[in-house]
This record gives sequence, structure tokens and C-alpha cells, in this order.
Amino acid sequence: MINSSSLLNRKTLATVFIILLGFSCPLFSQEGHPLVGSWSGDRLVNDKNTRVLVLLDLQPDQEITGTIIENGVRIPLSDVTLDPQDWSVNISAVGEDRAGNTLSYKIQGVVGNLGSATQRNITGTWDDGTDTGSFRLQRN
Amino acid sequence: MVIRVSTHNLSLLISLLFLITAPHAGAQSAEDSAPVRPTPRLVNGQVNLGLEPGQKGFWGSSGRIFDRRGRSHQTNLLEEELPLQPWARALLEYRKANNQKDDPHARCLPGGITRQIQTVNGFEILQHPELNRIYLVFAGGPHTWRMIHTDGRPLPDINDPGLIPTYLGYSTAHWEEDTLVVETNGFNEKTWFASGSLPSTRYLHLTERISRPDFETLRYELTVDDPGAYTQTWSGGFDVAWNWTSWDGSELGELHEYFCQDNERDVQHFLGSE
Repeated sequence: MINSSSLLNRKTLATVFIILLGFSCPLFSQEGHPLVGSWSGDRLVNDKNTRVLVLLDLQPDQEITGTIIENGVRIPLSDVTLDPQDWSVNISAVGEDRAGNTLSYKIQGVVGNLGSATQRNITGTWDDGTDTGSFRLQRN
Repeated sequence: MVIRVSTHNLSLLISLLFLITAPHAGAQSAEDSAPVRPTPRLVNGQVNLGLEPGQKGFWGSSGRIFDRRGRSHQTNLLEEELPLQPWARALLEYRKANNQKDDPHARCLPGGITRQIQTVNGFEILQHPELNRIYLVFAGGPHTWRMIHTDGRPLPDINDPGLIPTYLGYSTAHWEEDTLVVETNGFNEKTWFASGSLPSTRYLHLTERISRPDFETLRYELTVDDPGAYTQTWSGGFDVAWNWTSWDGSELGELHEYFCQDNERDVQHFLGSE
């Protein structure tokens, strides 16, 4: 019997792999800028968990760029800020879903377990323009 | 005026004068009291940064690329003067506040190229001009080694998607008279490149200037160019001392076998402020 959940995960992973191939920079950064790298986790939408992947990179001029990958769709980030006073993070992203509808995300969170290369996380709230729910991302 | 001194006091005075002026026998090794040996050279005239045939020893104690204690250079920046980006300054303070408990080197991962030189247990430099290579072998940490090319090849492009970033980066070097100038980039951001909890990013480009002003001194100067973590390029350095004896104090004068991973039990006890 085909497990639809595992099929969805395989599709998502395949999409992520293809997108990552297009990324020109290696996203290792366990000990570099605290935000740089790939983050995966869940956000709560209408009491339902949705898997998300967030890829972040640091440019030489200190701008943080990246993309959100959700439901096989790539949503570019328009603004990312990190406040080193309290390690709070603000992310804005604008894109389109598969149907061509505009997606506008506002994400506010805090980096936790900052010093860990394997347990670093970001938790907070995720506003997708329709609903605001909690989220948790873990550094990959 | 006549000053009378008793025989007892005179003996005491003579003994005191002897103690002040006599050589401190036993407090120094034969090497310490001998004149400093000149810089050794290879047959091609190049400075020999390593062992000479028939000699013993290896490079040992060093200093820091910032602050001015011990073997650190007196021209170094102090920690508060380091030109760190705001996030990097905050990360440095976080690491210090947590007693460096997240240090990857303490988890037996390779230290950065400067960190390995600074690691206790010592290192050797092996020059192979016939191969256009210089190797550094490190006894401390995970017992690593590093290769420096001297064939004039350029540094890799860090934005090349085919480049595989590494712990020790990619090094290429040339001689400027008696100073070896080594440039390195292509780091994987998985380590702290020098002691002192210093942050860095994949934009890190290090320039090392290594010289040997006399047999027992290695002069190490580092220039840090990393626009990701620092607001401007900066430099610092230290001297490294030659070790005549092995780590256990024996006269063998060789690097000993040490593997950080073997029976490692410290990580579980690391404590920070969190």
C-alpha cells in the first residue's frame, strides 16, 4: 500500500534537492553567522503542522538573503534582520503559491541554543497574511 | 671611621655575594645558557622552518593574535579593539560567557589553521621544495596535518559551486626573502580559526607571514580579511618557541602520539551560563 504521507515527503525532498543544486553557496556555517545555513521544521496553520525549509546566507555587505521552501514552492525572502542584543529574528517573504496566489509571510522569532552546531533553533510566530501560528525551526 | 665586621658576619656577607653573582646552575638547560643558534637553511639557501638533520625538537608554546601577554606580539590589538561586526562581537561575548563550551576543537574537530599552531602538544613543519609543498603536522587535537602549495597556483574562487570548503581551507604560498607568505581561503565555517573564540565566515581570507629570526623562534603574523565577521582587515601575531624535549619531558624531543578522540570524556561536563 502506498503511504501518501511518505510520498509527499519524497516529493518535497526531491524538490528541495533540486533547489539546493541551484544554490551557489555551500550552506554549512555551523560556526559562522548564527543564521546562515538550512533550517527545517514546522509551522502551525489552522491547527495543522506544515513542514517548511528555510535557507539563509550572509552577503559580504551584511545583508542576509535566502528562501523559504514550502509545499514544493520557493518563496524568496525580502528582508531578514537579526538583533544581536537579544538574538531576535525578523523575516519577510513574498512569493506565489502553485495557483498564482500571492504569499506574504512575516516571521518573528528568537534564536535558541545559539552556541550549538546541532541543536540551534528558531521559535516564534509565523503570519502568512491569513493566519498567525507558532513555528519551530531546527538548524540542519 | 673604622667599620668592624665580625668573622661570622664576614662569612655571611661573602656567601651572600656568591649567591647573587654565581651562575644559576641547574635552573637552565644547556641550550638556555648557550648562545642562540642562527636561522638554519636548506641547501638551496631557503630558510629551514623545521628540523635539521641530526637535530631534535619541534615547535611548541605560542601566543595569541590579539592581546599582548606572553609570546603575543606587543603590537597586537586588544580584544576590545577587534573590528568585529555587531553580530560577531555579540557572538564572541556569548562564547566567552559560556566558557567556550561549544568549541568544536574541544569536541576533537580540527582547529583552524592558526588554532592548530596554537594548540599545545606542538607541531612540525616539513618543507619539500622538490614537491612544491610544505606540510605542517600537528600533535594536538585530532592529530591533523595541513598542506601548503608553493607552486604558484592561485587561491580558489569561494563562490565556485564546485569548491568543497574544508576545515583548513586551501593554502598557497611564496617566499618574500626569508619570510614564507601563505594565503588561505575556502573554509567550511565548522571551526574557530584561532584561539580566543573568534568568529569567522566563509569569506575568511587569511594571510600568514612565517619567519625564523633564530633557531629557537618562529615568528607568526596573521592578517584577517573577513568582511562577513569584521568591519576591516586586521593583523596580529605571536612567537612560537622551539621545544627540545618531548611532551613528557624526555630527551627524545619528538612529537608524541595523541588523539583527542581517544577516551574523550570531557564534553559531557562542559558548563556554560545556559
